Amino acid sequence: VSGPLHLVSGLSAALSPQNLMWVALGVLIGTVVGIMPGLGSPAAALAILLPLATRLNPTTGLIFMAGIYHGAKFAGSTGAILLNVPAEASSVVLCLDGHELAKSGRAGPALGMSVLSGFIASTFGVLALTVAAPAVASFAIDFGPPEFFALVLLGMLLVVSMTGKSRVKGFIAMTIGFLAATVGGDILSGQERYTFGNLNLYDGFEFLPIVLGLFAVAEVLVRVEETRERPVFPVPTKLRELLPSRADIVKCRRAIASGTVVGFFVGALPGAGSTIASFVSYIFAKNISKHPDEFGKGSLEGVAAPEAANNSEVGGAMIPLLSLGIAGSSSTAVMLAALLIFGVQPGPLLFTSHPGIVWPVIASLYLGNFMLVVLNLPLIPMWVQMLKIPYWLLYPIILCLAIVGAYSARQSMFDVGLMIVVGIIGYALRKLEIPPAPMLMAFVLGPQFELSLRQSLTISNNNPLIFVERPISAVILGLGAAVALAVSTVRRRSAKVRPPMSLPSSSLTPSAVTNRTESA
Amino acid sequence: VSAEQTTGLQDRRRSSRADLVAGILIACLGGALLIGALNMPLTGQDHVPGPGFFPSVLSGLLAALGLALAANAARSIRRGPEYEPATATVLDPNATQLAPPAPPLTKRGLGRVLIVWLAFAGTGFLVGVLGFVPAAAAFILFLLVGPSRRRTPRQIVWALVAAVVVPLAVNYIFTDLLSLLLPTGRFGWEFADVRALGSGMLDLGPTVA
Repeated sequence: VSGPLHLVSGLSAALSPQNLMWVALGVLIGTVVGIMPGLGSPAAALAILLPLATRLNPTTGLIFMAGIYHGAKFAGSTGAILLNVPAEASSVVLCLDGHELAKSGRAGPALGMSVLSGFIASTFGVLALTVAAPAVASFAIDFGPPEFFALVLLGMLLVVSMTGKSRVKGFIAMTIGFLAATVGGDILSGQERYTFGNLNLYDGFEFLPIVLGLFAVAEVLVRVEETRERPVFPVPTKLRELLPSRADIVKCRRAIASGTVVGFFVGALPGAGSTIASFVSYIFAKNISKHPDEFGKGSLEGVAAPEAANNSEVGGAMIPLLSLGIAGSSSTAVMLAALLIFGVQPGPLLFTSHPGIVWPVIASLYLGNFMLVVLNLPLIPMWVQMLKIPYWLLYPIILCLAIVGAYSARQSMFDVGLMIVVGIIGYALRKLEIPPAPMLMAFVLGPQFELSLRQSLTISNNNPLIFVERPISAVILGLGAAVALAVSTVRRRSAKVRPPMSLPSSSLTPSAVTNRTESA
Repeated sequence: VSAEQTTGLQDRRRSSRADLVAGILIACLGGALLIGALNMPLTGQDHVPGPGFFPSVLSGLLAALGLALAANAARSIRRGPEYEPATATVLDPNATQLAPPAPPLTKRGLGRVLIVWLAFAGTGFLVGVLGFVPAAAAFILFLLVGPSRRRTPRQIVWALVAAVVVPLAVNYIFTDLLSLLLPTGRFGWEFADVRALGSGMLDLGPTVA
């Protein structure tokens, strides 16, 4: 049966009143959590609400999470446009033009355009995912351990080389994540590793304390350190003032189209994520625009393109997640963890083994975006009020919720302590500009990565050449090497172009933001 | 050289020193983990890679990366601060001033972080002794009137209200509505309708996880 037909049946399953309620609730909660300063990244919002989602049945729980994800993303762009604060790395580009628009009194159209282009892009993203994901899955059905190993390595290479200032620091983050994943009993031999005889560690580190410490607690500590109140710009209160005019839409149609396509393909690369998608689409839209000079000074196209990419990327990112079982970003890492908690192993077999889960979830991505337009666009004035809630009132609540989340996974005080320790470590890592995203991805993918490595070497009699002798794994590894090489060349060249000391080194370059709040 | 650039250079110098210390610490951690990994069987039956294989490779890599970080930092300290190629942005070298510059770490800022974290750690301990609701109430009250110095009568009233309402609301949502267990402490103080436990007022279907 073809993909689109499955999508329709998935949509009808997702459209049950209960699921609709949860996707609406997810969008609302995601927006609230995302709009609160300090929990801006979808990964942190998802992690805080994961205990709740895992109480639901798998389909509803995943639909709920899709809603949260969309809500938090929307909240990210609101903060970027109104406060010039990119809550997550992927909304950094949105600050460029979105905030200029807000300053010149056009916050309404900027917000409206971001929702509209996001909706169009998401529609395309979900439709393309419907066609592409089963195709990728059936292509990957013969993938053995070497191919899986190569894929994870490619994803890690991409995320390390594209996020953060320093590749050494990115690789340090990745290595720590993989090492954290080895703690506990070895799956093949049962041998205890790094448990120090502690019974709590025999099953390894629990996911929630790690992700809550690394994202929620560390983010709170970073915010507590900097105490700056930021001004909010006046926002229109009527829905009509929010809608971009017909002329605006006509002007932005090329930007939306290009952003949508770029976002989808970049998102489908494991490890690239929405940060890269939004940057690439912005530059692409600027190059094909009839008014490139307006970019950076408050161009609606400069809002439409990255926001389109940001949303179609969600569809793209679901391809490696669902068909290959590889998380390409912090948010999809949380999603992957949720799938595993539900006992659903993503991978080539998912589409045949769990069609009743996978198709409603894909459909709910679309539903989540629809709810976003229906619920959030009229509520924008209310959300803006929430932006004004002072941080000193919020962060104690965030920390209390973190305790609940860490404890809830297996009713363990050990996990609460673990989260508290991981929190201060995560804070130190952020101050050192060691990015948390590769660490979380490596932690989630670690067990399977190790298994595939050991199985590959078992197949080949400990001959490491197996990874380049198998054609598909060789191609994947070659691709990874090519990308890493290309990125380092571009970096070196762009460094040469700029004269030394042309900017204060503490200024927040996009890469530095990526480093601080990587969450894509 | 402008004043702004001078501050920038001081930040760079400080961050190089931090990198040097961090690199050495990470190398030591890698070394310690390597010793641990070498005590695990490197190979399993029939010489296939065993449980110690992956940790050995990784901890060795971590030690090497830590040394590389320290060496880079030492080089940049010796040469004096300069513009580092690594700060160039991959995709748009011109997009530099997107967000306001991050303020440098001050003693006061670090002090605030430590106070909040220590209070948080203390709460983590208290939750195990007193249970979630009293510990969270104390934590919220402390944070709202303690380090933030918001002590007008009005603010104290709000802090008291938040300290009572938030823990009870969280407790109600998670325990009564979602039938998740929260820590009740050594004395077993319940702040929930225990009869609701196990059923949950929202029908959530079978429990996973």
